[in-house]
Amino acid sequence: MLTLPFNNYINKEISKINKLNRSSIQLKTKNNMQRNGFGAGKINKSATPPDLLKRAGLFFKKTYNSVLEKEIGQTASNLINYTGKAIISPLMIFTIAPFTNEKKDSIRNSAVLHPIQAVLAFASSLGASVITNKILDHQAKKGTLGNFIDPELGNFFNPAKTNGKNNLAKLKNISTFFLTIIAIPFAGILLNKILPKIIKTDKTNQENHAKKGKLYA
Amino acid sequence: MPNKIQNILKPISRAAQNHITKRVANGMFDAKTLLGASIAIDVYSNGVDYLQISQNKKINKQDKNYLKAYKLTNGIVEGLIQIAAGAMLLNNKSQEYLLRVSRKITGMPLNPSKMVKNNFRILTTLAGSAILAKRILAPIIVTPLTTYVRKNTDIRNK
Repeated sequence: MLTLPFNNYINKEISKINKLNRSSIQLKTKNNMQRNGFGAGKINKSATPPDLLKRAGLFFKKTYNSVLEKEIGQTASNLINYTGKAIISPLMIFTIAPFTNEKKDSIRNSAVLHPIQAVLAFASSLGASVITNKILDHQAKKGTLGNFIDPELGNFFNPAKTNGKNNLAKLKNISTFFLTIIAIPFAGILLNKILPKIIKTDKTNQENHAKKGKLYA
Repeated sequence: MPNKIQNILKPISRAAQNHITKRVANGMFDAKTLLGASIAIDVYSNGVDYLQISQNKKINKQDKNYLKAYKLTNGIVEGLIQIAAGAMLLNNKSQEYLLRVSRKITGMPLNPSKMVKNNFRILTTLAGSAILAKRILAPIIVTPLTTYVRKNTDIRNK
């Protein structure tokens, strides 16, 4: 007779523990879903606007701080220049459009043209600069560019005076500047080839030389 | 091989070394050169567009004139506006003011080192000149100017 209540007690306790465990596991899974889950969890957590704003602010601060601590060179200035061209200049075209006498098609085409031009110019200059930067790094490590730009040897011989790493970075800046200047006409030629495939004009538009001129310009 | 390359590049490398040492030591000079490079790229790209338009046979004469005038005025106005914006933003006084504003808004940079100050100077000048001045102010000035220049070119052609 004594065993039964004892057993019952144990059973009850076990069931309680199981329930607790289940509830804790469920909570954990919920939390994990909210933390790492794709889609629903994140949306539920970030649905309130103040949270979103806070997150955006934190992200902005982190990126801002990291950008300030890194070195800003010619590629960064190119990026700023071409992002402005890709994003702001189409917006400016749409804002100025009501004050001009141009047709809707030409306005739309000129708004589409700017981002394509910016992406082509930036991609061509970046591709050329990445390759040359790798070559410059390799040559600097070898020592062909002299002690002035050697990042390792220069510091060893004359640690106070030589500033090899910074000098190499500035040399890369100069090389990227000249490469962007070389890449601009090539980007223009590419644009002339790509544009007719992207922007499909009507037959009447194709016959109209004026519009064609604005597209190819 | 390394010695031969060095001998060929000696006269160029001396000037480049002087330029690089100045840029590493002086942050202001670095910012000025970057701004000058961006202005040069803009003027150059406008010039290339001008040449491409003048060589293109598919464009009408009237549109050609308009586009040529547009590229000319665009290049000149963009260059001048960027120089003005750079002169406004590169001063030490305006930099101190901008640092105060950034501290108020973002809380950064609290104790800026020399490198962070230089980077902040470059970022603000490039953002102010390449985005605010060139992309927003310049088109507002250029569109009425092009009509004026185009009228003059039409008169010359007649």
